[in-house]
Order: sequence, then C-alpha cells, then structure tokens
Amino acid sequence: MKLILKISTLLLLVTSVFGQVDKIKARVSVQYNKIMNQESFISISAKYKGENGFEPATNVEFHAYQKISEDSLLHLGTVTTNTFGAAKFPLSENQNSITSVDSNFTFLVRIENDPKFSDAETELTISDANLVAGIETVDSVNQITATLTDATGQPLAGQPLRVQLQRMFGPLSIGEESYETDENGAITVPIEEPMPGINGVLTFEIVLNESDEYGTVKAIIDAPIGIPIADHSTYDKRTMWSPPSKTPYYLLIFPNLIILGVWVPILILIINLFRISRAKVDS
Amino acid sequence: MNAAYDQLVKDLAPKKFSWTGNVWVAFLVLTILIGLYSYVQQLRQGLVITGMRDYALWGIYISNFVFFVAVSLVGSLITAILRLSDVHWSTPLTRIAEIIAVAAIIMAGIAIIIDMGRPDRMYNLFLHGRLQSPIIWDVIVITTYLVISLLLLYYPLLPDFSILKRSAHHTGKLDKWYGKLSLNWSGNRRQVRIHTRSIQVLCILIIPVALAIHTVTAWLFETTYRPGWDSTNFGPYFVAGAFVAGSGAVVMVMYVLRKAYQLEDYITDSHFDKMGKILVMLCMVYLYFNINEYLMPIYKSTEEEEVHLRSLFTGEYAWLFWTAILGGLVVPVVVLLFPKGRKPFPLFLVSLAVVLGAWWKRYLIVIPTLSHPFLPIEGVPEGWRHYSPSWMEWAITAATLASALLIITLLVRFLPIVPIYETAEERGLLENQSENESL
Repeated sequence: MKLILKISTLLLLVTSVFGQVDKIKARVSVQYNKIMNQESFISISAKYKGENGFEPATNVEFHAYQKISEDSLLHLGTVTTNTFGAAKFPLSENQNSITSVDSNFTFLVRIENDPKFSDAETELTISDANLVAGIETVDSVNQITATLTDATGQPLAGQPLRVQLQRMFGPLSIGEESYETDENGAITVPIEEPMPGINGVLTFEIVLNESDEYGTVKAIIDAPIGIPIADHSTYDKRTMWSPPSKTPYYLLIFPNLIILGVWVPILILIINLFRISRAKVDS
Repeated sequence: MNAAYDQLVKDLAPKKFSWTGNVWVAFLVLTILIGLYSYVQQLRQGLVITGMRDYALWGIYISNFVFFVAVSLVGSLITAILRLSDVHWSTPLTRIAEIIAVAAIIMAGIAIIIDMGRPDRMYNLFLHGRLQSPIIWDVIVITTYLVISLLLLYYPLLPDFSILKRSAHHTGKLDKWYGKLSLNWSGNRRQVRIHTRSIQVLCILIIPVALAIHTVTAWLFETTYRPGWDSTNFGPYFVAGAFVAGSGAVVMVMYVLRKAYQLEDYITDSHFDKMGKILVMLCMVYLYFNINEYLMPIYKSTEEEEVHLRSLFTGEYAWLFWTAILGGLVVPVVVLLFPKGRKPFPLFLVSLAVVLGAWWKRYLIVIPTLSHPFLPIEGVPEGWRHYSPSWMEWAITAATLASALLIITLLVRFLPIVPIYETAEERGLLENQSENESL
C-alpha cells in the first residue's frame, strides 16, 4: 500500500513538473489618449513572436490599475484584446481626478494568470494637458488656431501639433507635417485651399501625437467653410444593390405577378387531382 | 377480352430487372456511394478539397448543374410542344422524356447545393434572398419547373395506374400502390374532361417556364460583365443548346430501353428516324447560335475577348473546344443528314457524342471565362491560375450523374415506359373494351 502511495506521489510530481506548458511572452505597448471634451482612454496593443514573425495577441485579458502611491494601486477594470491584438480601456473623469495633485497620472497594465501568455506589466506615466482649438477668418483667409496648456493652464511651448482633416478613409494632413507651439503654446495655420465637405462642413483635428510626456491629445472642430457637396448616396433608395426591404417596386410587382400567374394554375392543377379522385362516379 | 389490348398491357407493364439491370443498379449505387464519401469529406473539410480557388470559383459542379438544367428541357419539347402540335407519333416517347426531365431537374437542384461551401446556411437564401438577384430567380424557376414536370409526369399516368391495378400481369403490393396512385380513375366523362384540360394547361404552362429556366440560368452568367459571358444572345443560346442535349438524352434512353425491354413494336425505327431529324435540326440551330456567339467577339476583338477566344481556339482549351464543336455538333449534323445515320444504332452513337459534347460545352462556357478575368492574375500561387478538378470533385459529379440515371432506372422499373392508355387509344384498342375492362 505504501509503495502504491509513493508511486502515485512520484507520478503526481512528475506530471506537475513536465505537464507545465511554456507560456508565451507578449510584447505590450500602451498609449494614453485624450480627445478634448469627449473621452480619454488607454489604448493597448499586444503581440508575440510566432512562427510567421510578430502576430497579434488576441483574446488576452488586461488588468488596468492606477497608481495612487508607491505601494498602493487602484484596480480600474479589465479589457480583452480583439482579433488585431488591440484593446481600448476607457478612463472616466473621477479616475483621472483621484491623484491629480501634481497633474501626473501613472497607470499599470498587466497580464495576470493568462493561460497562454506569461504575466507582464507595463507602466505609463503621463501629465495632463489641454488643447483648445478654434477657427477664425482674418483678411478673408480662414485659419485654425490652437493653444496647448498643461493642467495648471501654463502654455506648453515647443510641442509639435498636427493639423489634419477628417476624410472617409483616414485623416488628410493640412499644411506642414507638424507645427511647433510658440511661447504661448499656440499655433496658427491658414486654410488656403478650398476643400469639399458634406453640407460644406469640414471636420479638423489638431493633434499632439504620441508625446512621451502627455500622450496623444486631440481637439476636434467643425467648420462650415468647405465647398458643399451633394450626397449621392443611394442608401435609402430602392436600387438593384439594396437589401430585400428596398427592392425596386418594378422588381416586386412584375416577378410576383409572373409567379402568381404560374403558381395559381399549378395550385388549380393540384386541386384537379382531388377533383379527379372524387369524380369516381360520373355525374 | 381483347387479345390485342391484353398483349399491349402485358408488353408495356413494368417488369422486374434482369440480372444486367441489377448489375447496372449496383454500379450506379457504388458510384453514388463513392460520391457520398467525397461529399462528406467536402462537408468536413470545405471546398478546399476541390480544384476551385479564388479565380475559378465555379467548376464542374456548376457546369454539371447547367448540363442538368439543359437536359430537363426535353420534357417540354417532346411532351408539351409535340402534344400541342397534335403530333401523335411521339406518344411512345413522352413518358421517357418526362422521366428524364424529372430526374434532370431534381439533380440540377442538388448539384447547386453541392456547390455550396456551407449548405447548412442555405435557409439564408430564403430568409434574406433579394429579388434583384438572378440566383433567386433561378431558385424560383427551378422549383416551379420541378413541380410542373412532376405533374406532367403524373397526370398522363393516372389511366395507366388504373390499367395496371386491374391488369392480370401484376400481383402483390405494387397493385395496391397503383390503385392508390390512380386516384380512383375510372375513365368517366368528368374525369376525362378534367384530365384532358389539365394536361393541356400543363403543356401550355411548361413551355414558358422551361424557356425561363434556361434563360435565367444563362442570365446567371450574362449579368456578370466577363469575356465570354457578356452577350445579349446568351438566353436563346442556352435554350438551343438545351434542346440538343435533351433530345440526345431521350434518343439514348429510348435506344437502351427498347433493347432491354424488347419494345421494338412500340418504339420503332420510324421513331428513331423522326427523332434523328429533330436532332439534326436542333443541332443546326445550336450551331447557328454558336457561330453568333463566337463570330462577333472575334470580329470586334477587344483585348479581353481575344485572350479568351485564343485560349478556346488555339490555346489551353482548344482540343476540348474543337472536340465538343466538331464531335458534338458538326459530325452529328453530317451523319444525321443521311437516312442511314438515323437508324437506331448509329443514332444512339451520334446521340452519345451529342450528350458528351453538351456536357463538355458547359465546362467550356464556365471555366475559361473565369480563368481570364479583366484584371491580371498576380501574386497568387501557380495552382490558382488554372482550374483542374480534384478526384473528389469528379467523384461527386459522377455521383450526381449516376443519381440521375438511378432515378430514371427506378422510375422505369415501376412505371410503364410507354403510355399504355394513350397507345391503346391511338391503336383503337379501347373501343373494343368496356370501360371497366379497359380502366
């Protein structure tokens, strides 16, 4: 009996040692994003080195924490990566204000006890910044003005800001690649080329992109300065490429009339079989 | 009792298979089983087991489907058109034509399901089908044609079932079934009136539906802007080709059945001669459409059409193209123009060539066009540039053909091959029979 117990214990030890599966090391990058007057969030991207080079780490659960002090963490929540290995963790206003004494925030993003990937931790420290943008017309020229300040309202000079226009398939850069803020934390960019927009509205983005200190800060403004374009969308119309609910009327009427014209006689012919069956005795 | 009538019923009543018949059924079942195994593999692994890839996304499944649709047209030709034209010589052939039509249209429907990667999602076709799509038109028209073909097969069978039920040549369970299927047919005036009118309506109804099924199948190709398919001529071109394939199939089946069941008194040399004349006329019409179909693109010679036509005339598909055109159309026309060519055996061989040519012609309609898209094929594995069916694809296709033949074989086993009632009526044998004796 003792021998059996010893062998069983040994087997358990062996299986526990050799049964462990090597976990994969994921490469995680995090970025703080703030869209003025809209939302702020942490974007997470995870990948690993697979057989075919780097592949997205999909369906990985990340735990997000905010560092309150050196030895205190506040658990903010969890988020799971999508098929591209990306995840977006939204930050609410109260979480941002918890430790904004020195306007710095430190976030930790962790993989904990994942069945496929080994535990990992990435730290992100950012300072809060605000970006205010507007559009004005000076000497018949439209120009975008934007001012970048820190959390205390002090201008941030020497920061590169991009000006871009929202288009269907991605942003279109306006003017130079980026404009450095002056001592007042401001930039002024003239919009000289007339550009088309739906109902004449152009949506501009002024972006401090992936700053080590402030993350990505973006201001979005709508300006009715574009050349109005007519919307030729057939989405609500009855076309040959519409869904079944928007079939053109003529394609509803004529084929259905033909179907009825053929199937009504077919039904009569089937009924005639019953009539033949019942007409056993000549009337 | 009328001895001639009794002999006729005896001759035309369904008979058990001989040993060759049993071997034939076993061969068909074996072919179907191999196809079923392959289809199970296709269901498990997906369409990757076929030779179809990104470019040749339709293969022999679709060309086989078009072939079945074509063959099914014969029901409307032999039965409906000739019946409405008051042509009586074709009476012994009507049942064969109707059976072939039913078998072909059933297998056409199944062939299209086989081409689906996920047949379990087929219900979406009915839930989300769009009337704008020719695929939905095809589904509607195939279903309609199947129902009409079944009715056209069944209606003329009612008096025959009644005769078989009372016949002394049958005993056992079959008689019971014949009795049920005869729907109490006694041949009284009211039944005959409803019966005659119904068959007339069916004959009228099936012609536009038969033309529609082939035209809509042509539109499946024609509505896509591709070299070889971009033609306003495609509908009538398909209809003409379908008449050829269907007539060839009827001649083949009538030859085999005449031999197997000793029906020389009913399916005579004259029937073969007349069918040969119909076939030669249909082949010439189809040849005319072929000339139309290829001559104009050659004359215009747009770059894409030229590449496509060159592959047919002198390139990759040349041997197949010329074999199908010469062997399946030109040579049959030449042979059938001579009376000796319309004798049963030569006509059988010619029909075999016509049917084989018709099958490969559908292959030539579907595959070369897909192999020559407007945009150049780039950045894909070499195997994707050319379509070559896998053995499993061939096995599944062979199984569909065997299934069609099995349906025909089984229907021939249990139904009178030559309509008994109509033949007796045309030979004046019913006049000597009392109502109860004859029906």
